Amino acid sequence: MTQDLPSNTDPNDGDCQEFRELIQGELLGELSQTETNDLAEHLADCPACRAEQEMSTQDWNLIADSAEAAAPPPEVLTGLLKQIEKEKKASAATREAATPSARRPSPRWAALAAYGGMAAAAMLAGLLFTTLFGPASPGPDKIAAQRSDAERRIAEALARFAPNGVEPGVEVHQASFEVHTGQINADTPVNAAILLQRAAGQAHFFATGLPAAPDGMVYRLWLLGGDDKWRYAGDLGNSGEAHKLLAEISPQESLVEAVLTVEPDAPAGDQPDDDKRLLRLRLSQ
Amino acid sequence: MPPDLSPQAVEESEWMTAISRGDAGAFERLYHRHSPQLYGICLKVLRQPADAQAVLSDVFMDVWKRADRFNPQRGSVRSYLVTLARSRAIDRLRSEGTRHTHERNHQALAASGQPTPATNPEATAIFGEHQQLVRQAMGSLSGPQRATLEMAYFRGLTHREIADELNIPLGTAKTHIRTALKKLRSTLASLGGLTQ
Repeated sequence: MTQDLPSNTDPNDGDCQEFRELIQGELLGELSQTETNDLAEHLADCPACRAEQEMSTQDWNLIADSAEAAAPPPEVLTGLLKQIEKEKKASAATREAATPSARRPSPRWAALAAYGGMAAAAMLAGLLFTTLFGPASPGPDKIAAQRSDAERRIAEALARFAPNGVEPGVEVHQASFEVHTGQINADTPVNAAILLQRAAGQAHFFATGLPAAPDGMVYRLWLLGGDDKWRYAGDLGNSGEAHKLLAEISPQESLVEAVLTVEPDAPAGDQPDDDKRLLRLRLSQ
Repeated sequence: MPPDLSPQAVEESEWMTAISRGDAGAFERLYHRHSPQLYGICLKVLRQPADAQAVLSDVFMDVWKRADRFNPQRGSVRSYLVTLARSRAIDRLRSEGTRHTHERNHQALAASGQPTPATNPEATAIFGEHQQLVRQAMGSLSGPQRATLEMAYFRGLTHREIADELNIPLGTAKTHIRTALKKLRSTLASLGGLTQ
């Protein structure tokens, strides 16, 4: 194609045109991970495309306003408030039952510390974190006791393996102790915990204490990015002492949550189903 | 994206902080302000009131449980809620059972008449005029432009899926959407519905 270009055309306009198409593709949620990364890289260096992306996103969001507002039936709010009240009561009971050591000021899922080396990581994975999620609600007393016990074990393990502190560049996140029940085996109580250790473009994910996945089911890891999009990170292999997964993580990739699910051994969907979630690990504030 | 510093946005950001601390009153205020618009989006996507109500509940329970995840630097509470509602509704639409009944639901909703219009005066006062202008701007688009935009936004279809469904070339589908977005902006600006 021959075409006279205006004199003020950006010398990179050809490239930009390609990325403008990617910006539109991003709105429609159809970019591959590679395209997403390419676009992010380009946007970092191209103010014009960043402005285009911002404007396109604003235009895109306008479409929502074309939907006619409608009053939901009052039962929706009533149901929500009942559920909230129930959760508040359960949460208050848990706090009351907690021992003083369990109430010490450590965030639920705070990055604890870290130390390098995958061998050390594997050793740590075998030792760390016990929390409980069982088929029947274990009750607030038992949950609080489990948390307290898990925090003690974490502290002991870190003191043993990282007596001199943390090597830079490695993050360790522990389970959030969120309790989900009944998805694995309705009859057998389960003690399990999850750990994600991230460094240099990789994340090692461990789940200790999980039983073998039921026939036809797999344990699956999902990661929620800073863009609020889920991505399937892979299925966990069972090494005997722990279920493990090595996931490739871009160094720039912002991660908000990791979620462990148990799902049918079939191609993964777009995001984890709520009713298949076992444990949630929060990775950033 | 620069943070929205309008009084409503600031107030809602404070509500999110309060919700993250367990303030059910703030939750209720947020629900009253935004549930009509979010329910409207869910209905537009799903066409089935029961499905739309389920998604609306999911969205607000998610807000209750994860309000601490909201970051005002990344956008307003309203954008956050709209994005969440659309995304959840489309996920539900994509689920096998819903997908199969989608067209039937379109017909069912059309046959049963329109849903109850929003009656929340506060929400209407804040968003009503703007939404009216957006609908006017959408009405200015050509038929194919509006159709492709709505298929992409409210059904979550990709360019390829839209092209296949409308039996048009892929490039044409992309052009329709690109042109429609630009026209939407320019028309809305001429109507005074854009602040910039």
